[in-house]
Amino acid sequence: MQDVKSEVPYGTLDLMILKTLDSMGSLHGYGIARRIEQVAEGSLALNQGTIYPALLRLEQKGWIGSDWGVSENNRRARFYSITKPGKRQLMEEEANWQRTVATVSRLLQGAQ
Amino acid sequence: MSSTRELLLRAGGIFRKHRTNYLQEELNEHIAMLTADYVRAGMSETEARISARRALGNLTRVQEDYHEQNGLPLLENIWRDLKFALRTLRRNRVYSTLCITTLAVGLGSMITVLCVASSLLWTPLPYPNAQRLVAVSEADPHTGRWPFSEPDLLDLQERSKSLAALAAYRASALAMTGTGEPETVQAAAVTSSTFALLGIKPIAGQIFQESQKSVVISRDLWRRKWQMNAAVVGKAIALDGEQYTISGVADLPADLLPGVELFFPLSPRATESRTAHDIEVVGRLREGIALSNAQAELNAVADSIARDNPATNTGWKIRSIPLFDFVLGPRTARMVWMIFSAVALFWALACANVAGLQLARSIARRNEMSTRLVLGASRSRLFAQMLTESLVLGLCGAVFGYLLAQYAIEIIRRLAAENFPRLGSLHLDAKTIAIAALCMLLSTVLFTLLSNRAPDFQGGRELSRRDRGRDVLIVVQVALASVLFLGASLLLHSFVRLQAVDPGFDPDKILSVRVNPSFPASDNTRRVDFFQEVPQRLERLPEVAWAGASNVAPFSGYGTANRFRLDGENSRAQYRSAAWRAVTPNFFRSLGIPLKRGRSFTDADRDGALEVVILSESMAKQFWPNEDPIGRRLLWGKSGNPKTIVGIVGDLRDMAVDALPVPTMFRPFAQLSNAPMTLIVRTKGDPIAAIEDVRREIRSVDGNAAVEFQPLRRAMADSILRPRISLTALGAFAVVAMITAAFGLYGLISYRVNQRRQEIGIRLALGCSTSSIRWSVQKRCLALVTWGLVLGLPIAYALSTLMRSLLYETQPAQPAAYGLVLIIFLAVALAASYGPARRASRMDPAAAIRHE
Repeated sequence: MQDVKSEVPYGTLDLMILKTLDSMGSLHGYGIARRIEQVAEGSLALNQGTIYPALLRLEQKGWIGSDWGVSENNRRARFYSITKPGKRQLMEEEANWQRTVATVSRLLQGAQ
Repeated sequence: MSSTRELLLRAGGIFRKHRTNYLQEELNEHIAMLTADYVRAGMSETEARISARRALGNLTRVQEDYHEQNGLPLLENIWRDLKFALRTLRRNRVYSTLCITTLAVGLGSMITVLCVASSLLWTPLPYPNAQRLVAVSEADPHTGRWPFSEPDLLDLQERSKSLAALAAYRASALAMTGTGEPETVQAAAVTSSTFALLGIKPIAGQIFQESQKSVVISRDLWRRKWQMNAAVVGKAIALDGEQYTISGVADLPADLLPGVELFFPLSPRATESRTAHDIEVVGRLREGIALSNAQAELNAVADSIARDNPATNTGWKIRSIPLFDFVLGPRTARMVWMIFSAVALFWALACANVAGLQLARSIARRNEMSTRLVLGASRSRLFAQMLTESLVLGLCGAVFGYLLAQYAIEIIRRLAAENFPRLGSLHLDAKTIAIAALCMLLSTVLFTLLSNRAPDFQGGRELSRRDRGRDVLIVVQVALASVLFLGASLLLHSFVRLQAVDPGFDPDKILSVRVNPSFPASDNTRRVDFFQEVPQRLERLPEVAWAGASNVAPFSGYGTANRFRLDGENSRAQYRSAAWRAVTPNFFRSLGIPLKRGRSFTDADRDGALEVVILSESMAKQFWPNEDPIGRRLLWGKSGNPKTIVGIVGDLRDMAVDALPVPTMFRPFAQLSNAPMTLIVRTKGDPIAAIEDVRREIRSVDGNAAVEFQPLRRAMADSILRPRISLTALGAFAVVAMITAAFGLYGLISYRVNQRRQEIGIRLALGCSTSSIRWSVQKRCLALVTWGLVLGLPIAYALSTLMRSLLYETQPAQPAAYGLVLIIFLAVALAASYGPARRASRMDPAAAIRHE
C-alpha cells in the first residue's frame, strides 16, 4: 500500500474497458479488472466495483454487448464483448486521448 | 443516436429491475474469483475475502451508481412523488375534497363562461364577409333609431357609393293556411339581394325573384309541416289569405331574424309613404372603405334626401353600426361581460382559497419537512414533491371542472337557444379548454410557490410569517366575495324593482291571443267585423270577464308610433311623436286600465263617424299641461286629419317592463284597422284553463284563423329575461364565493383555536369566563372579515359604477345594498367562528395545558 498509485483519471475508465475488450475479446467483469491492473502494473488505484456501472453505461450506449457464459471455475458469469460501434468509438477516443496527451506533454515540456 | 437509445433504455430500466439482480450476481462472482486468486497467491481464506472486498471499493456506492445508471432518477422521482401525492391526498380526504371542489367549480364556470363569451362575443357571424356587414337605420332627432321607409331605402340604394350591396327586410307574423291546422308563422318580406348578401343557399328548389309570388321556407318549417319531403317545392300556400308558391327551402339566418321561418318577396316602391318606417337594412361596405368614411357619406345621403323631401325628412339622419353589434345588442354584450368578470373574480377567490388550504397543510407538515431536510433531502426535491401534489389536485379539479362545464353547456344550449340563437351551437372548443388549462396550470404553480416554501429550521418565526400569509389570503377571499356580493345585491335590488313595476294593469288573469284572420288584410270591413264579433262572443263565455284587442301584443318588445301636431300648429318643421295603439272598445277594461276622464270607445266609433282618439295620462300632461284636452283635437300623422280627444286613461307600459310608460294615443280599431291583432282576454280564473274555449269561439267566426296563446305573466317574465339571467348568475357566484370564503374562515379560526389550546387552558384554569374566551375567538374572525370588507367594498363601488346600465332604478351607491353585504358578512363571520369559539370555551383546562 506504500507504492504511489494514481486515481483513475476521469472519463478514462470507459476507454480502458473498451481497449481491453477490443484486444482480449469476450471477458467477464473480473477479467476486465484483472487485465487493467496487470497492464497498469500496480500503478493504478482501481476500485474494481466501479467497472460495473461503467459496463452498464457502455452497453446502454450500444458500444459493448453482454451475454451469460461460464467462468473458469464453472460458474455462471456475464461476459462482455465490444460491438462495431464500440470499435469506432474506441478509435475515435484513442485518437482524442493521444492528441490530449501530446498537447499536455508539449505544454509541460515548454514550461520547463 | 446512441444518446436516444440510452435514454430509452434508461427509461425502460425504471421498470426492469432484474438488471440490478444481475449486478449482485456479478459482484458475488467477482469476489469469489478474486478471493480464489488471493488464496492461490498464499493468503489465508479470511484474509483473501477481506482483501477482495476492499479491492472492489464501496459496494453500496457501486450499487447506487449502477441503479442510477439503470434508470432515470428524475422520472423515477416524479413517479414516486405521484404515488406519494395520491396516497397523501387520499388520506387527507377533507382537504383534498375542499381543494378539488373549489377548483372544479372555479374552472368549470370559467370554461363555461369562456365558451359562452366566445360564441357570443368572439365568433363572427356566419355570413360571407361578415366583418364588412353593417346594420343601417334612420334616426329622427327626437325619438332616435327607426327602420327605413321604402322610398328612403330606394334613395339610399341609389345615392350611396360606400355600400356595395344592400339587403332589406320587414319581419311580420302571417297566418298560414292551406297546410292543415292554420298557424301564425314568423315571416319576413325580404329583397332578393338578401340571399346573396347573407350567403343563403337553397337546400331544395331555389330562391325567388322579387317579381314572383313565391316563398322560401326554413328547414324547421319544412320538417314540421312537410316532413322534409322534397316535393314541397311548387306547392301552394296561403299567407294572410294570399296565394304563394313555395320556391325553395333554405337555412334562414337565425342570428339576424330569430324565429323567422319563411321569406317572401319585398319590392320597395317609391310611391310608398316616407313616414312608414318599417324596413330593416343590412349593407356591405365596399372593399377598402372604413365604417367611419361610410358614415360620413351616409350623413351626406341623409342630408340630400332631406333637401329633396323637407316635409318628411328634415332632421332625419342615417346611422350605421357593425351588423355584429346590432345582432348581439348592447344589453346582451353587457350581460356577458358582467358574468365574465364575476367568474374571473370567483376564480381569483378559488385560487386564494386553495392557496390558503395548502398553506395550512404545509404548516401542519412542517415537522415532516424539517425532518426530511435534516436527513439530507434537497430543497428542490421537497419542492418537486409539493408541486406534484398541487398538480395532482389541479388536474383532478380540471377534470371535474371540465365535466361540470360540459354539463352546464348542455343546459345553457337547451335553455338559451330560443332567446339567444347564437348559443344554439354552443360547444366546448379546444381553444377555450386550452386557455382554461393554462389558467389552472399557472395558478397551481403560483400557489405552490406562495404556500410551499421549504421550511426553515427556526420554527417559531417561520410559523408566524406563514400565519400572516393565511390571514392575507382570507382577507383577499372576503374582499373578492364582497365585491361579487355587492354586485349581486345591486342586481337583486334592481330586479325587485323590476318585478314590482306596475305595468298599469293586472297581468295575472290575462290571456293574450295573437289572432290572424285568414282573409286578406285589405278586406277592411271583414276585419272590423271580425274583431267586433270575436270579443263579444268571448265575453259570453262563463270564464271570461272582458275581452278586447290591440294591434300591439303586450311585452312583445314591439310597438307602433306616429307623429302628430296640435290643433292650430301648422309649421311643417314642428311635429311631435307618440306611441299609438289601435284598440277595440273593451281593451281598457280587459287590461284593467282605468278611465280617468271622458269616455271610452264604443261600437259606434266606426268608419264614417267622428274620428276620435283617447290619450294616456302622461300624454295629456305633456302636451296639454294646463288645460283639459277633452274636446280638443290633434292632427294625426302626415295627413294631419284631425281627431277629437274623447277620453283620458291611465298610463300603461306594454313594450318592456323596464321601459318607462310613454305618451300614447289610442285609436278605435274600427277607424284604423290593422293586422295582425292581439286579443286581450281577462279571465275570472286561471287564464290557461280558458284556452280551449277561446280557440273554439275564434274558429267559429273564422275557421282558418291562426291563433297563438300566451299568458301575459309569462310575456312579462320573458321581457325581463336578461336581468333575470344576470341576477341568477351573479347571485349564484356570490353565494358560492361567500360559502367558499366562510369555509376558509372556519378552517383558519379552528386552526388558531387549536394552536392557542395551552393559552386558553391556562386562562380557563385561572378563572377566565367562557364568554370572554368565546369573544376573543370571534373577535379575531370579525377583524379578518372587517379587513376584507374595508378592502372589498371600495373596489365593489368602483366596479358597480360600471354596471350602472344594467340596473333599473338602482344607484351603485344604494345604501341598502351595502347594508345587506355588511350584515350578511358579519353574520358569516360569527357563524364561521361559532363552532371553534364554542369548542375553545368548553375545553378541559387540565387536558389543554398538557396538550403538546
